[in-house]
Amino acid sequence: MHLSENKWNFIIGLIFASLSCCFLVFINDWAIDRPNVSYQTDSAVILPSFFPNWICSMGLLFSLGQMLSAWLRIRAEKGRAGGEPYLKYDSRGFCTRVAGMATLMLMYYMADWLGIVLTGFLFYILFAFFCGDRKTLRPFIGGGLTTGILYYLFVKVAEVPMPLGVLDFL
Amino acid sequence: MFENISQALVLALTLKNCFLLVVGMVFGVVIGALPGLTGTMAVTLLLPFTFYMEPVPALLLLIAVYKGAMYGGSISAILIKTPGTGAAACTVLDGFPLAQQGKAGKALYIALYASCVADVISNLSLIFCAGLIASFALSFGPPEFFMLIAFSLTIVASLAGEELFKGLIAGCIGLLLSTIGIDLVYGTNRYTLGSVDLMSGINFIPLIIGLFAIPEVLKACTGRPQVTEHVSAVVGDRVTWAEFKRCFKTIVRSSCIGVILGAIPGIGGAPAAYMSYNEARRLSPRRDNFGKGELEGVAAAEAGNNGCAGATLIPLLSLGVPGDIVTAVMLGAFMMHNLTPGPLLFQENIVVVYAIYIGILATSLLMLISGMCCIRAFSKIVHIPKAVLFPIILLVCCYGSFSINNSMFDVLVMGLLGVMGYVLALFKFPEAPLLVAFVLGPLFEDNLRRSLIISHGSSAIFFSSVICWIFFALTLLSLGYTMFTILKNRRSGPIA
Repeated sequence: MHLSENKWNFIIGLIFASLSCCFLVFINDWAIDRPNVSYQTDSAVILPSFFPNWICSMGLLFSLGQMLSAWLRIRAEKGRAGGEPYLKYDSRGFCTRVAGMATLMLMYYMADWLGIVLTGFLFYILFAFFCGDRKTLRPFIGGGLTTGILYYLFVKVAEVPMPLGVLDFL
Repeated sequence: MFENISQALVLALTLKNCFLLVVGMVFGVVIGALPGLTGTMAVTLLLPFTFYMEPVPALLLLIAVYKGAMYGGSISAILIKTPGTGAAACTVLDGFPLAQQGKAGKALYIALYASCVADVISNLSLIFCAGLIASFALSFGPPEFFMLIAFSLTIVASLAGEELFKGLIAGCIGLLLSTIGIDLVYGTNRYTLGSVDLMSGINFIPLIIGLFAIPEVLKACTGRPQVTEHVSAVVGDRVTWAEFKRCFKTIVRSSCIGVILGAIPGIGGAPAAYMSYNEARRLSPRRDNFGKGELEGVAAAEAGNNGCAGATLIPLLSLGVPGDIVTAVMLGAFMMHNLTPGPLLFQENIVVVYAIYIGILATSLLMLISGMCCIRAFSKIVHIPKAVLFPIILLVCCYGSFSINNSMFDVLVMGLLGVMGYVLALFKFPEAPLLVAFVLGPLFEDNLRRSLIISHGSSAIFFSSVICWIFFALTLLSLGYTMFTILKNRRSGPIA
């Protein structure tokens, strides 16, 4: 974690260069369907994989550029004082954000059976807590009000068929 | 023409539209005034709501939000030294010292007046220039459009700022995301992984919500109580006529700078504000007072910043090229309502264009009225605790993403892209190139393939007309200028 910005930039370049290679060599072949030969009416019509392959080649080129630029800077900074680490590690902030991300992903699964309204209310309370709200009543009141207003706007006014889950009787 | 204008007047000046303009303006000012929330986020949050509206009210609402946010950024810049938007950063230089001297009211009012004057000048330039450029662009065929979009994609490089390679990589991610779905020529799947939901590609709204709103929510998840900023009191002193007269020349000059820079894709409000401020300081007899609390300084920065607002719509409406992030979002909004900005918009939907012009002119007046009525209330906005604000934003994002296709899959996409946006932001990847590339990617590929079909595979078609050559030269110039600026900055600045 205590790497300088330039070292991180080099690693980022390396990651994206590897990803671009993976796409060029394996993923594009596997994830882009080849058209049936009989559909190819004109040789001037480029294949569906042409543009993604071109993008990945550009991505590879830019990633190598990123690596080179970072490497030149690493060389230039050799012998100087280290300075502050690029990513300041804060365990509470890190854990809270990871919990926030996990909660976001969870919404997809929870909303199906609990309904988006109830899930939204629970998520409001959770995110208020993640954002540092330590008051007991405020998240419940805020969550109730926000969910109520959004329910009215989307379900009643705009007639969006929101999954209501256990609140389907509404 | 007069018939079209009268139809547009009927379409634009309805009670509902006026109400929406006021709501949009106030909402924009509120979001713009909140530190950390930008005009892009304001437009993004309202985008799903406009899905159920007619095109004209929807677009007017979004434009009002955009303009409101441009002005709103100055409120927190003046009161708490924290610019609500990047473009308002220059307003801090003189706005905050004025607030410290107990003249916050004067600073807020001059910012409002400068914003309104600049907005009117900017809108007039849009009205006079967009149609002319569009009529010229009517002669464009697929190769010309391909070269135009290639030129527009070089904006990606200029939007990348200091992090050129990261910006270009982000652009590649955006282009790659835009290829997901069914191939339009062969009808085969690209990156759909057998999922029916992915066959129509990634929807624009979950993408921008994920990229712009969710990372802000995640950044606010610190697990610690947030400290409320100290706010200078807004006392009742207003700008006198003599003071306004003194600043007027600066306001007009700065507005013109804003218009010129705003009309060039990829520059945006912040450079316009700084350039206007520098010119005002250079030419003002009170130049020594700049930086210590000078009304002219606030007026110059705000006029430069707001002068861009209307002008950025010139390339968008006339050529379909987004000049900055907000106009890229606006481009998505146009497409959502089956309107394609560009020369054909002026041919096929001229009444809608005129209605937008009328609405845009009305926003300048509304900005003045709503600003004068609510300036004290707006100054309280910065008190809203983040622990209340961000969960509300999250819920609006989830409801908004769902409502576009009535699909929970879009909420999942929003969440995934939000996490990706947060990680990219953590490593200082600019998100603007990703968005511009995502928007322009399909147009780029489509025009490339159409051109090659016309020419039976010969790439000479891309150099077959003068327009193509002009855009090719502009592309090289734009790339060269970006590289030159970055190298110059690196040589003059310390090694990071």
